[in-house]
Amino acid sequence: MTIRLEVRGAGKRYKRGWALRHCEVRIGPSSITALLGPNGAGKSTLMAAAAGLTGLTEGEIAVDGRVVDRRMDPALGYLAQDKPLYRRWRVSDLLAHTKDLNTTWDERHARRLVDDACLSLNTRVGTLSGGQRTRLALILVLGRRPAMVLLDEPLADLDPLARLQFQQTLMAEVADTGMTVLLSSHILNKVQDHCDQLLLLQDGQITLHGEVDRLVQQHRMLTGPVSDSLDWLPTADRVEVRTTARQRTVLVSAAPPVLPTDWTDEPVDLEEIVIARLRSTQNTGVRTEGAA
Amino acid sequence: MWRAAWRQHRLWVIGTVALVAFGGAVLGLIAVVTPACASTAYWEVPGATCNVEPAATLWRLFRLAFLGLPILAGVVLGALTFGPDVEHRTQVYALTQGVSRFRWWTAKVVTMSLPVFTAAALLGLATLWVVNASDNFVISTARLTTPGFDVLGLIPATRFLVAYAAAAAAALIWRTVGGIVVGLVVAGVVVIGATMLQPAVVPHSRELLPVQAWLVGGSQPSMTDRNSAYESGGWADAAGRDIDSSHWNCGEDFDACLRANGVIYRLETYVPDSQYPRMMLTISALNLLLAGAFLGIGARRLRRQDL
Repeated sequence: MTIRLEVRGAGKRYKRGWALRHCEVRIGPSSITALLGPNGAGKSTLMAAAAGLTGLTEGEIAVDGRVVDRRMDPALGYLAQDKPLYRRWRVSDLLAHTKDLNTTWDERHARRLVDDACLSLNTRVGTLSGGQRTRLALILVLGRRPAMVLLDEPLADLDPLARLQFQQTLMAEVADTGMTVLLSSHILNKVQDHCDQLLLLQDGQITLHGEVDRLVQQHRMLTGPVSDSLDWLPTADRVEVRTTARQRTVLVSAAPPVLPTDWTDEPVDLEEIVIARLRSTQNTGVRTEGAA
Repeated sequence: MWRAAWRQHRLWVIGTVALVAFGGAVLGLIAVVTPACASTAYWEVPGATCNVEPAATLWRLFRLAFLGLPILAGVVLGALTFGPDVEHRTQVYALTQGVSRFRWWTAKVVTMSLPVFTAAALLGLATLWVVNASDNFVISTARLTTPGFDVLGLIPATRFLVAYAAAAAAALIWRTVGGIVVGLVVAGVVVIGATMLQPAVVPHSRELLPVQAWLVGGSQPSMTDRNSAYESGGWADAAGRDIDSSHWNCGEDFDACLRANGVIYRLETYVPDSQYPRMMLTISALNLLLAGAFLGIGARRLRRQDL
């Protein structure tokens, strides 16, 4: 499945202010992208806009060149954060209902996923546990055989076992179909093992985007004496500077080829990069110049 | 999508249509149990006695129910078409399937309103037929005035549609309770407005009666058949023109006062019963226009709404 999602200068303003601003991003086919950011960063707004649920104030979002205009592209699947389902209905009713709402629906696939999830067709949705309900909501998305799924905080409120089961279902689907996934979360360690792309959203703006491996490779932690000035380090490359009584550590987005004497260079993991980015933005406001 | 809409709303639709069908059964029962003695011809039989009360009570109850139920049903069904979806955010689930907003809206509105509208229209027309066909004073009702006008023909069905459309549009914004409240207010305004507007949508008949004959009761207007709607009475000069009597200060000699003011005729204005079809169709058309406006507002709202 090949599909491409392009966000071009997207902005969304509510009464309280801008939820998204100047968002530019391209998500390629067969990738799993983690959309990270603190609460209120604009992740759900971006997801909803891509799903056609919310109109943009400026810019546009296109799926394979088709501009999304308050209608979800047929190639997409969307799972909302609160997983709204008809709670009084039985699982079988919901499957039939979803089938009727779609022109493309793989009944056998959906039934198999229901069996795999050990969900009884006669069970009322309201009596399912949070994890089961989330899994059912995912099954209803996957039954449409979408080329790309947008999952808005799917792992929030799930216990570890339910989270694992959800991830297993999703990853099996990705492995089978090559489906593209955009998955938002405000907690990095819930998603980092499965994602090959990272998109960091802060205060409605994209502050970091790229392949996880490349980002990890590029970012370095430099450590050196407090007395040294940092003139040799381009400001744009500095993500976070921390100074203690004995040493200074600088997280950089690109390490210089040659380090001054007494300075060391160490690799960092993704969590350190994201947290440093979030912390530096909190201290200084959004920095878009570092965005990849 | 149609099957999906039917699955979601069938209980309410079936329940409401069943209620209307029950009304139809009651109407049939009234026609059956109304004793033959209620016929106008029966009273020509000397010494006749007759118990028409059960049928008359049933007819009064039927009229009362059919007066309010279409509006109540419209408000409730309208609010329930979108209100629960807005409250539980299940419209997000529905609109992230392979269906456009307009198609989702259309399927739900048509599924919920069309069967009930049709049933109410059929019952209204059946009631009209029964009233027209009956030759008895139990079922007799004035077609041009409340409550007769409100329960006959297409009026109940179109009022249902107005209440439904207003509640459905409001429920998209203010959820179920808001939809019900707005629907009730709109329906109330429509009923009051229509009652005030009714006589204005058809031409009135004017009848001039020689005033002297009228004063002694020797001349009665021909409009006094059971179904005509009396509008106003006044005075006219020899040319038949209205005379404004608001400034008169007549004493005990009313005849002299009339003569002094140039009155030659008593003027009676009324809506003849023959105007009923025109009045009913005109008010129904206005109701449909209003319902269409509310439906348009609802559709536009959903089209532009951020979910």
